[in-house]
Amino acid sequence: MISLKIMRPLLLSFVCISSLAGKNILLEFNGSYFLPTNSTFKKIYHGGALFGPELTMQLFDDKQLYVFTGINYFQKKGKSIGLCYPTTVKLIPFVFGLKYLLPTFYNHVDFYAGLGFQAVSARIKNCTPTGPNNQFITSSSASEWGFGGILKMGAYFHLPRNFFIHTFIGYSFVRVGNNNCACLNANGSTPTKTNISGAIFGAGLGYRF
Amino acid sequence: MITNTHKHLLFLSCLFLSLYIYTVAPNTVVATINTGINPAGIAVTPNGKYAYVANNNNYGLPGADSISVLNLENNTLEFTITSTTFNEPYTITINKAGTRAYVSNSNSTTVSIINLENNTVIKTIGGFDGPSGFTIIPSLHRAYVNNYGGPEGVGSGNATTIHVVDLLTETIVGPAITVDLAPAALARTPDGAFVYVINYTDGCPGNGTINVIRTSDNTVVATIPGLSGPFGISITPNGKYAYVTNFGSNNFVPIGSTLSVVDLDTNTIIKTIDLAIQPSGVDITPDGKYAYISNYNTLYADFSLTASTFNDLTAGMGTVNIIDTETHTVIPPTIAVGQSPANIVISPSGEYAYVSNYTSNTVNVIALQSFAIEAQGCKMENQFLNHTDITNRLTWSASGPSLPVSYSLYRDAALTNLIAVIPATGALEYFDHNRLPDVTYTYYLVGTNAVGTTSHPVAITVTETC
Repeated sequence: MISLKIMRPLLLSFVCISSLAGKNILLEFNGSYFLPTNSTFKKIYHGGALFGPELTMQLFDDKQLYVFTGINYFQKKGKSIGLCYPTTVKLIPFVFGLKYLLPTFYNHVDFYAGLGFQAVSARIKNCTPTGPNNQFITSSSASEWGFGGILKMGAYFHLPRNFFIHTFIGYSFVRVGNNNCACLNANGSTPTKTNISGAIFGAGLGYRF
Repeated sequence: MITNTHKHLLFLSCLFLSLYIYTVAPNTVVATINTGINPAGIAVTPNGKYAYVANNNNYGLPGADSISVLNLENNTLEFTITSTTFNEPYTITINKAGTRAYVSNSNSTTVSIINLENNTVIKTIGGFDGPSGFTIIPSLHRAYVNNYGGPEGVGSGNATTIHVVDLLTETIVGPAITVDLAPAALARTPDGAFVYVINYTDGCPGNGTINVIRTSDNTVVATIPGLSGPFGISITPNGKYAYVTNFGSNNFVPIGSTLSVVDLDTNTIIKTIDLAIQPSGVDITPDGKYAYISNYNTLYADFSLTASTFNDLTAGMGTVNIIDTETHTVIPPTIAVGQSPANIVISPSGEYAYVSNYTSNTVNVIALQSFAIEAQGCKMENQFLNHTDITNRLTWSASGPSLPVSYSLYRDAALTNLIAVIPATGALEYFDHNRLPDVTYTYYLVGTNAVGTTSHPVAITVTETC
């Protein structure tokens, strides 16, 4: 919630200032498929949908360098490896980076390559039976932040009336720390590094200001 | 009309009843049932619902020669069968169908036949001499009866014969089979091919024998020497061993205190096991794992025999020993029973043993551990994305005639820290979560069968990885 409160005015001011300055601003809503490369993540949750808004803005007039920012949401249920107990992961990545639009001969298409920084809020909820007869299901939740980067490339297909379609692929590399995992402190079980890296394949629809 | 209040009360009652489990430790006396005078032989019906006890009435009390019918569902004396045909009834044997009981009248020459549908004597077979044992071979429709000797024959302890009875015609057939002196009891092998007859002889150490009768031609094919006043015999369900109690005597020393294990392949005594004073009755659990022996412990007060009458006998408290038939060793506990426990019989289900106390005029009911538990455990990792739950997986199985209906799992040998009660209706396993790494855990599992008998705790130490 805090993150959204911070992000909303930032985005609005970003759009307003850039429009006034006469620079290209692209606002879109995109969805992508997140394909985890970490085997543990893959076995427990498999892949899933990642979606959210993204804002891209030209940094300098008549230059190909753009800055972009976005926020995404990912939630997936899975089962633990071994005993198949329920677990849920929620990821909210905040992205900030640069895109370089490659010069092309086609007016209606812009290709780009980008690089960004990511801060990811990860919330993992695990369920294990406890108590006499294992009759109670206890869910232990852990919320943590992870930091990493993202490599991205894609294309903007410009449509009439300033609309555009954005397709992209990328690779996100993030590791989440585990120092605050309450379940580990309680029972002393072995902590595991949380790797949430993976490839993304996506598309979005947006409007160019 | 059932109101909601009634429903709640009914629910609470059911809940209370389901939570209330009456348990008893295995191998303890759970009931004592009064019988007639001097209960000796016992037979349990194949369905396990009734026991028939031959009241030997050695005091000769008028009208006291009888058979007590015990209701084994509530452990009470249900009925007493009396008959003029009874004369110091000593053993009683029930056929496989549970329709007939055969009573050996040790002080006469007859065997009385009881119709178990109406508990009346329907026929008497004559021609014996102090009959004191009766074993049935169902496949041959034949029974073998040992003649110990009686007042109407050669006198007690002087006979040397076995009679064969055709159970279809209920008559003695063929000539008597000659055996050694004073055949005291007999037992057949599970396949019915042989009958083993123990001969008391004179009760002196080493003078007793076993004669082996081949039932195909009723011939004695082997004699096993070296017994000491043998009194009871039981053969293991697999037919490999016979257990023979060496009663010795109650009026001269040395008094018997051992049990002989006979290898039936070689017909030799392979082990002699020390027990208490005067081992008498012996029976083996249906799974063949344990033998239960009653120790009579009743001696003449005056060994000089200057005034030895029956009333001089001093009955001590009897005991029951348990022998592990795999190792042929005595295992705990020693079970205290009534005075002069003459005989012991184990129910077909293996849940109970019934001991006839000759002097106490009672039958003790002993709850047995009628099952064995084999358990094991291993460590496994239940891996989440951000942590690994180290879990000990415990699995087990039970075997035996009366399996547990639930299992209790404890963390300590004192059985104070209960982890779980697992019903036997589901998978026999338990997962103990969030264990510490590098710690060796030991658990204790106790089974409880339908009649409330619990097992000894089975320790499960988790060292292996699943």
